[in-house]
Amino acid sequence: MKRTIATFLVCSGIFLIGCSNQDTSAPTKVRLLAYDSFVVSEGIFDDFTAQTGFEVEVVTGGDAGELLAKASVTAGDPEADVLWGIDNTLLTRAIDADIFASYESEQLDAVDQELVKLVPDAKVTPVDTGDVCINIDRVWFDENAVNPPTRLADLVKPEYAGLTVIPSAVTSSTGLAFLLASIAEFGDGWQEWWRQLIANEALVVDGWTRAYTVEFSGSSGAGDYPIVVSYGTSPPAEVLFADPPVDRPRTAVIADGCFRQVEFAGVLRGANNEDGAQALIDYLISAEFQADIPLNMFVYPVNNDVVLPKVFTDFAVKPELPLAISPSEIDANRETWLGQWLALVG
Amino acid sequence: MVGVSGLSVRRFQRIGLIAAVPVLLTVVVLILWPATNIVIRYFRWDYFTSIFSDDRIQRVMWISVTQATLSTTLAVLVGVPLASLFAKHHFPGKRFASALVTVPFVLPSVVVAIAALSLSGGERPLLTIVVAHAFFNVAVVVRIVRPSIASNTSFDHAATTLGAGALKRLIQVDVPLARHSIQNAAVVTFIFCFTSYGVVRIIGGLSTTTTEVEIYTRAIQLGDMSTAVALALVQTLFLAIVTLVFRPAAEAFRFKPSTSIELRRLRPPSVIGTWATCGLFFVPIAVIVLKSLRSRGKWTTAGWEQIDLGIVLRSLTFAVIASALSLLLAGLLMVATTYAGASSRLIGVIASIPIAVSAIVLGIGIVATFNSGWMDIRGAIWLIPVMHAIVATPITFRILRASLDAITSDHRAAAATLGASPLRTVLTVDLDAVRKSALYAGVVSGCVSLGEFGATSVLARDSSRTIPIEISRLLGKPGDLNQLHGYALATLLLLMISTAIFSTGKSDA
Repeated sequence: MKRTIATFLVCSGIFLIGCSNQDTSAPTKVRLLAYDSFVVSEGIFDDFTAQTGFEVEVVTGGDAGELLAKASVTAGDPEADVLWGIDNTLLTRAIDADIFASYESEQLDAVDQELVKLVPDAKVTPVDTGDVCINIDRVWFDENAVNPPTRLADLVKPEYAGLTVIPSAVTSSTGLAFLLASIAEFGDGWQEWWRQLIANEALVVDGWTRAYTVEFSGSSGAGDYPIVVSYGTSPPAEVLFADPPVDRPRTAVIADGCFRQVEFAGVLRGANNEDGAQALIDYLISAEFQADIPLNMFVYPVNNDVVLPKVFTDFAVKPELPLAISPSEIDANRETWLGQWLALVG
Repeated sequence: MVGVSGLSVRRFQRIGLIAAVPVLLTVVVLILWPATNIVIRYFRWDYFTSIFSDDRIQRVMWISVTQATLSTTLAVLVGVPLASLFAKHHFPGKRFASALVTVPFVLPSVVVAIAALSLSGGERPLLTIVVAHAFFNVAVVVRIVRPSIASNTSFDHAATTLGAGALKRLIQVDVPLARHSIQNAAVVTFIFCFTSYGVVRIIGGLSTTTTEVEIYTRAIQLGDMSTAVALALVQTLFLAIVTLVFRPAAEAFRFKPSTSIELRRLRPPSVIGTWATCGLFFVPIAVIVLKSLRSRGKWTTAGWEQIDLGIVLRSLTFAVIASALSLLLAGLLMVATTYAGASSRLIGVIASIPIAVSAIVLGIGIVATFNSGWMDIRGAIWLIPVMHAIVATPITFRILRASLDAITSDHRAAAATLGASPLRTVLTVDLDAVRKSALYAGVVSGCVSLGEFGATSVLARDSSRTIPIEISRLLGKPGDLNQLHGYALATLLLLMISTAIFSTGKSDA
């Protein structure tokens, strides 16, 4: 019996050593870690594999905040080679946690330079943008003969009392972006505005799913609130995924008062396959990959050569001058702002 | 210990301790070590002490204790009478009713939360949370308590002969006889409710939030790991104390009269009452089914047409593996806690740790601990079913244990008298006793795996997803089809689980 156990242990030891030895040979795979809502078309990486010889393994594991928390505790010993999904609200924290290795892609010329400038030391590369905007239920406003709001400041007016639903800034990235929009819009007056908004019976819920799919009257949940905080690209989804089919969405975007979320991808420091990771970053900003993004993830590509799908040009809104706060300012004040915000609405 | 010599006691104890080793090893390596690793890395004494003076955190802890206590009370108040009815009576549609009250336990929390919200309209969050938690956990109570009552029907018959009414028999016969099981069920329900995340977050919003939600907010939104681990530590210690204090005394070799189970027919008024109670469980389920079939006031099957069988098959494969592993762990644990003597209490508490550890801290801990060389198991495909099995084991164990408690020491003594070795006794007497409930426990643990959305949700996995993760992703997207698809998957999950439970109902009865 004892001999059997000993033999077993020796064999497993050899097996394990065998496993670890495999790691030292030239890697053929490059692993991309992304948030759970990351979706791409089937076979989108085939051309990349043909060009570079690297196979792409996509793994998902939580939302962007969870990915950053995990990457921070494993800085230098990462779970993957490339991380997709850190946005401008998390960028400074990610850079401070030293999770990325700088890489400046030669393909950056095709990318919106305003976005590239957000990144110090080429630590990450912008890959997509989306705008957090007020959405309204057009049908509700028609039926009730009320003029829809046109800017953030309108939401505190008496005619919109009890009509707005907002995801919490504390538990939702959409909610945080909306809080930042209000801070960018009203400056020092943001707290007073929120006080009025709450007094105007705005409903604050935990996250986007409840706000949009349960409480908002324009979605399939058919709730009681015709004004919701969502995205500039939500209306195209209301057309593409409509059942029964519709020609135009029941919802519309208020273009004034949007906050732009910029998402980045970066090579993780200590990546097993750094060459593959750098090649993958090049591919992620290529026109081929970027053209695949809008209809899968309902965000805008950063590559200027990409032609947008018709449903985007028809129904999505991309404001010319969205509200913005620099990543470093967000990071420096996030905790204070969230604390003040909680005191107002909690 | 009737009829067993002192020498045998030590040999029985050795078997118990040996059986404990694999279970403890699994819990220590995959749960305690990664969790402790994170706590050690981020623990700061001043953060730890400051949580006791922070008003918001004080309120959060108070709400956690209150909602868990209320939820547990409600689940026990509904679950024990149901368990007694199922244990002692025959009535038309019993198997269906039994499946109906079990199904909620394994539904993803986002689905239950949205169904509860649709019914409550968002009013009275604390009450909605308590009802939703009770809805989840009545299954736990029924499953754990039912076998103990079923094994003691002779007292019930005697009480009936002496003219005691149904309520009197429930309170004076069933409850005292099944008190260990009730206590056991209450403890595990309390832990589930206390650490609940999805239901509380979605229903509670900003005002009604609990420790686990606060841990998430601190760790993820604020990047404040030190406060997060301090809270997680307090939560786990508190739950460990609850488990230790309220864990029933060791029941091994407790005297029990042998009884033959004789089910009685339930009278028509009681049948209607039972059905009305079980019918309440159907209401949230009906909401989910409706949401999969109705869009903009019209009926549609479009959501069902979107279902990807690959995801379903993958989830089922995980469930089968997790269920087998969980049965193995629970079986070993059962032997360990029965025979390990003085250590069995401690073993039981350690084995409950997986459900008392903050899921988010554990997920981050695993990623941070197994991070290099041959130990790098992050992203390994087997890690998901193994974690599912560990999460399911505390409940699988309690279901097995409840049937084991129903066997008598006479059986063991008889086996010993006939010359069976302690190992043989364990294998023949104990394992035979739980054989029937093992099938059921296996199904429940498989179902836990199908619905699990806790610690495994932050572990990296390849992009082909499991059902609960896919549901959560779909419900997080605009567009009717995405919503229909999400609820169709939830309904399919319901159907699979209720079929599995329904088909084990026969052997279970």
